[in-house]
Amino acid sequence: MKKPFLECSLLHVGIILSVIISLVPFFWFIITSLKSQTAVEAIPPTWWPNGNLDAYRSALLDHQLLNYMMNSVIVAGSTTIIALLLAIPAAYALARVRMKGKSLILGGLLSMSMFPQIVIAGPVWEILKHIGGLNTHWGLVLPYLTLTLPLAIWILATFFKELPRELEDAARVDGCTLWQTMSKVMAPLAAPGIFTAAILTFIYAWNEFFFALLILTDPEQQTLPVGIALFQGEFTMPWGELAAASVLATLPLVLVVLLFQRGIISGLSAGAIKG
Amino acid sequence: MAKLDLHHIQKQFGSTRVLQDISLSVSDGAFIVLLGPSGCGKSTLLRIIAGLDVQTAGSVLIDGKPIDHVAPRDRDMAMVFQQYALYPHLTVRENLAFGLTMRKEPATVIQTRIKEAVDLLEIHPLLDRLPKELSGGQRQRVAMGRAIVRKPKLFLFDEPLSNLDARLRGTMRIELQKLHKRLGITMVYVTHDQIEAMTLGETIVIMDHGNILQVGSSEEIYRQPNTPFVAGFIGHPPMNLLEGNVTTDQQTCYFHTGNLRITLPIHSCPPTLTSAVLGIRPEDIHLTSSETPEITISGTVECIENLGADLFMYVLAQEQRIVLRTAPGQHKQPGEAITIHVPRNRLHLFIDGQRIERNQTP
Ligand SMILES: Nc1ncnc2c1ncn2[C@@H]1O[C@H](COP(=O)(O)OP(=O)(O)O)[C@@H](O)[C@H]1O
Ligand SMILES: [Mg+2]
Repeated sequence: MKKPFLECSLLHVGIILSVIISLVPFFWFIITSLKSQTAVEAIPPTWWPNGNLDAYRSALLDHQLLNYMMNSVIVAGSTTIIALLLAIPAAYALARVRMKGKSLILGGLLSMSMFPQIVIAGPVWEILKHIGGLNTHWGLVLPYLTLTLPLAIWILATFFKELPRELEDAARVDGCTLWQTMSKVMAPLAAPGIFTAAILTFIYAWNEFFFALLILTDPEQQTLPVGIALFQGEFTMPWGELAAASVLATLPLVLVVLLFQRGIISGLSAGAIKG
Repeated sequence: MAKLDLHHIQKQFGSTRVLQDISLSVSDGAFIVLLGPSGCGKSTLLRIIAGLDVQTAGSVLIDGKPIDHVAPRDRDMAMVFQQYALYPHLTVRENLAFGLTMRKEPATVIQTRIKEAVDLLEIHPLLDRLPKELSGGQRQRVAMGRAIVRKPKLFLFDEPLSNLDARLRGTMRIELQKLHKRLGITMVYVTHDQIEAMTLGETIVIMDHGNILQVGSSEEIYRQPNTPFVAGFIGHPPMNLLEGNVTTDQQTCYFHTGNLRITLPIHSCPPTLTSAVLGIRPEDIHLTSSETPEITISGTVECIENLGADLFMYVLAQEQRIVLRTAPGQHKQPGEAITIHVPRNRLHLFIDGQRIERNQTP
């Protein structure tokens, strides 16, 4: 059966429009990153880059981009790993244990993930100052966990709830320890949920600017967003270097998403039970 | 191979008691069926035997040894679940091998066991498929296979056939019986379907509201139901249960309902107006008189259901509806008057919810 022409073309127009709107800025700074300094500042703007890699060289060598990137990998990586290690058991308990007020807890978690950051900025800074967490990576990971855990738990709990309980029972009768039940049966089935939570947490921690700026004042410790924002030029804004650094900062994110996406095979749990 | 004993098992979820006080003995190699309506605690009991749930009180024994502190993985039981619970991310072959791999059996043993089970269940063409690529009946076979390859001490089945259509269920019942004969492993089978229970079980355990009401062969349970509940639960159509009172008249004891008065062949009569239930199986009711001592009841035909092999007739008598089962070929019409005959030795009497045998003192 063919879809009506109008519906079909509307769908395509919609898809093309959203792709253009989300990718145009990205293309613009890729183009910018490949221009020479004079081409960047030319008015009217030139549309075609002159293939100049100076901006990349300068971003990497003069501005220590690799150092920032390393810091970001450490912070975002450990945030993701720790968040998952805490969120998986918490979500599992919320999904499985019969208890009163469970929906209240889940609702509370969701609303907590909508809290404006500015509300906790002051207290977080005070606490970190007290325990010596300022200008350290773990001092940044801590508030990141606070901010990402609720959403991660919520996503995972929804996924675990979808998995039939009989599967776990079957695994336990079949000879699995609790840990094996988790790793051999539940984790592979909850993989789409785990990957989703991981990607969201990683992206958040990778891109986060406000807390990173607040907590990390030492350039040696700073993460990518802060580092790039604080690029200094001699007389002008180093637009070319900024664009080049942004492109480089986005690449790992794209890689991570592509990598994790392969693990997301939806509908995997179909066929476990009747239907 | 194992003998299973349950000693005074109780189970509470919060404040609700799901199992009251269950004691049961299953001998080595037996095929026992737990039969009861939905929600009576059958699955809970099975899960306690498997160690998936922990009882509030009581003890589970295998070969005389308590196993209450043994983890499910060390109990050496295999369970087939109502929803099959195949691992969706594993192929049929991997599903079958899973339990053996977890127990670190050598690869050659796994190979031969899988081959045996596959031959037995005829699921060879399915080996490399994922569960989602199987039909309901095929999933059911694989679930069965996953239990068989384990060669456990005890098989636990939780309504494994309830998701199949009627024809497949019939075939699987026969397969299951053959399987039991062949393997000789103790089996505990849970169902709410009386036909499944009657055809499968050597011993049937009737449960209701967390209690065991009766244990016996299908013959015993059909012939001598302990309580009105068991009487009404077994048989199709269900046994007619007439509610009435006991009355006495010059040392004769009667069951009394409406205008119907039946002499009771018991020695000493309970006090007058003790409430009683009289049970009559639809298939014990005849439309013609016979030589044996019998009771007769008159009424009018209410409606008729012709099922081909059987004919169910609903008769309104003494303000009670009585269903009877007879062969087709009756030319009664709804509204017609009718007299029904029941041999006296086929009457079931219950006083205070307990069966009273003939000539027994209540
Ligand atoms: N984990 C649980 N928490 C609370 N109540 C439960 C739980 N599992 C079962 N029940 C209750 O116990 C009763 C018996 O359940 P179940 O053993 O599944 O019955 P059956 O298998 O005979 O249909 C039901 O009323 C059910 O609601
Ligand atoms: Mg059940």
